[in-house]
Amino acid sequence: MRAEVRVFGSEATRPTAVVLSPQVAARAVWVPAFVDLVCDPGFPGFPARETPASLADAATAGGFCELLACPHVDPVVDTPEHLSRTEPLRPPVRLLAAAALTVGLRGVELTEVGLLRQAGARALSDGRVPVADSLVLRNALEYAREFRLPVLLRPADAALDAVGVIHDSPLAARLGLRGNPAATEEIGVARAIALCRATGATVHLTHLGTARAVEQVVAAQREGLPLTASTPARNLVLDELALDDGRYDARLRLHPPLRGRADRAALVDAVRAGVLWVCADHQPRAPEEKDHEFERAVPGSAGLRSAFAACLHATRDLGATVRALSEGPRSLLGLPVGGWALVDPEAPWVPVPARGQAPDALEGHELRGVVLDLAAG
Amino acid sequence: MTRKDLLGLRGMPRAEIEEILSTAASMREVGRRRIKKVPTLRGRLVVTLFFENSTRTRTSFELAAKRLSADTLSFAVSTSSTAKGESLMDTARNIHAMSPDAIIIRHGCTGAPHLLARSFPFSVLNAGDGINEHPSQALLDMLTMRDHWGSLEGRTVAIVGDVQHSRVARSNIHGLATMGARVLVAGPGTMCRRELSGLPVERRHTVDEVVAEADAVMMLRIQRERLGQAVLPSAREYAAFYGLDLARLRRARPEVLVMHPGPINRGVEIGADVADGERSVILDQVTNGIAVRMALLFLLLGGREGGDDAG
Repeated sequence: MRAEVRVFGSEATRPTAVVLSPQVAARAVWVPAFVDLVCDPGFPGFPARETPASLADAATAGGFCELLACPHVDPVVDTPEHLSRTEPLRPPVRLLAAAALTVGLRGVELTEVGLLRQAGARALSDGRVPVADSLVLRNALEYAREFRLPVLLRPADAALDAVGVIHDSPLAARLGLRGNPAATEEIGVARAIALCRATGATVHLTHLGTARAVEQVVAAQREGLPLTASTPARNLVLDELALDDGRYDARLRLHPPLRGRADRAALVDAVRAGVLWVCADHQPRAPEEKDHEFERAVPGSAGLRSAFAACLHATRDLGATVRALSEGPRSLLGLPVGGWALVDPEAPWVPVPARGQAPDALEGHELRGVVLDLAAG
Repeated sequence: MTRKDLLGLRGMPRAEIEEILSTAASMREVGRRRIKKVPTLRGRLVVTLFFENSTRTRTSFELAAKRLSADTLSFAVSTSSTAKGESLMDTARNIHAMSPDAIIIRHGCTGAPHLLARSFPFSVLNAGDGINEHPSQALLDMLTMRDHWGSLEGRTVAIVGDVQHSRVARSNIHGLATMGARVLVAGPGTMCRRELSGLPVERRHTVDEVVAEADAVMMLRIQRERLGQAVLPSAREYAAFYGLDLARLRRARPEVLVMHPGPINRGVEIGADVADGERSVILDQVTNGIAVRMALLFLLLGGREGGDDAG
């Protein structure tokens, strides 16, 4: 039967559009719909990965109302003309644009930040590509600051970033895979904090994976810098030991890679403490892009369907999960609540491979927490 | 042996390694006959699929298959559709359509044999994957040591050189540790990184330290393309600090075995007088290579199907 279900953080209730058993209705709760800060739409340019319809399906299933699209589609979203061609999604899901920080994501010339903002850009980002030149990055932050657009950066030292396919550790030596050192990220975070301090720009660091990076972010926030950070939800459930079975499962080919067990624990603690937000890091890959040797498989994983369950499963804290997936990202982009997700925080759920859905690194992992419905605001 | 594939020595139980080594020792007898052939694998198809150049491993496997009377097919990658951008999985699907019983694969990517092994019904033998494993080489190395010592238990083996990127080293480390031997490693810091603590080895700072303690010294081949990069300054620097010359060998135990997986860079990782000297067992390694590969094919393909005996 349809039910009146309580709204998270208030005395109010909302009716459900879906039929729930009395047991589920008693456990279920409406929470503010989620916002993904790191979403690769796959279009235009990569029809085998994703279409507007399949992206809307994934977002709806995952409880996401707003998706901040990374600019590395084809062509790269680095001009107002490209921005205006963004395809609308099926409501209540909305695609918001992060425009490129540098032309072609090449890290050399600044994009037309003012015109991009007028055309609707909500943020600036070179997506997963680190800006190699620190002078260019400083200038980009100074320039963006005056247009009051947040800048999303994946913190990484570009030279070290090119090395390795899993976390550099004794496990990498044992598995015979080249490792990517944690220092890649630590250097990137240190540089971003220094330039945030120097410019006063609003900076959001994406894809955090290491305990030391979390410590650096905490110190920067204590200092009062306008700096926030997020980690992909899967990083709260998976760490490098997921690879220890020696299967070289290409679904776990991710960049940046899964880090160590202690790193994962630090990320979970930081999400619980409200220091770190969570993104879906939705990077749909066509099955044939994963049907390769581990090193040659295209890095990335879908994430929208499993982000809520992964975050709640790891933190066991619905309040922290809502803060990390909804309130935090909304505050960065200045968005009101765009919709409501109906969730059952107790239901067990195992993501499984499905036809027409991009592979997810969390497939086969038992999680707790299910999204039942997504409703407009 | 009940396994379908030979992917690596990591995690392989001691009893299986012993079974392979014992079978290999008995296979050596075939090579001493006037007619060096037994009918064990008659009618079976063994395909070699090498994505990297190799003469000795490939010919060794092919000779092993021929001595067991298997049909062999050598898939020449450089002239095949792989050179035109075909994926490994598509190449393997095409070979699968020819109904092979086993594929022997060498590939530049770690885990490539594992991908084929879980995707196809034929047996997969890893002849070298990325920087991961080269199990048949380690097995022939262990057979060579066992010939001299009877047992590997309690022995000390030194591996010198680019341990980080050597599949020969990695397979030997896993196999030797399982067999109860102690493995010491030494080499330049860029090639013997601290992360090797993930393997059952003791890392030492100098070659002299490991040579003095070892019952066998295994010198790894230096890849010339690494010279002059940010990994290794020069050949003469390498020879001076990490090469095994006569002066360094004098610090070793008198009965030490000198080993090398080949091909040798004379004067770089090993002096010519050492490679050809009385402690060198390098050519024994080659002979044992054929026997070990016969044993592997026999155990994976023939051992469980009531085929003719190898003898």
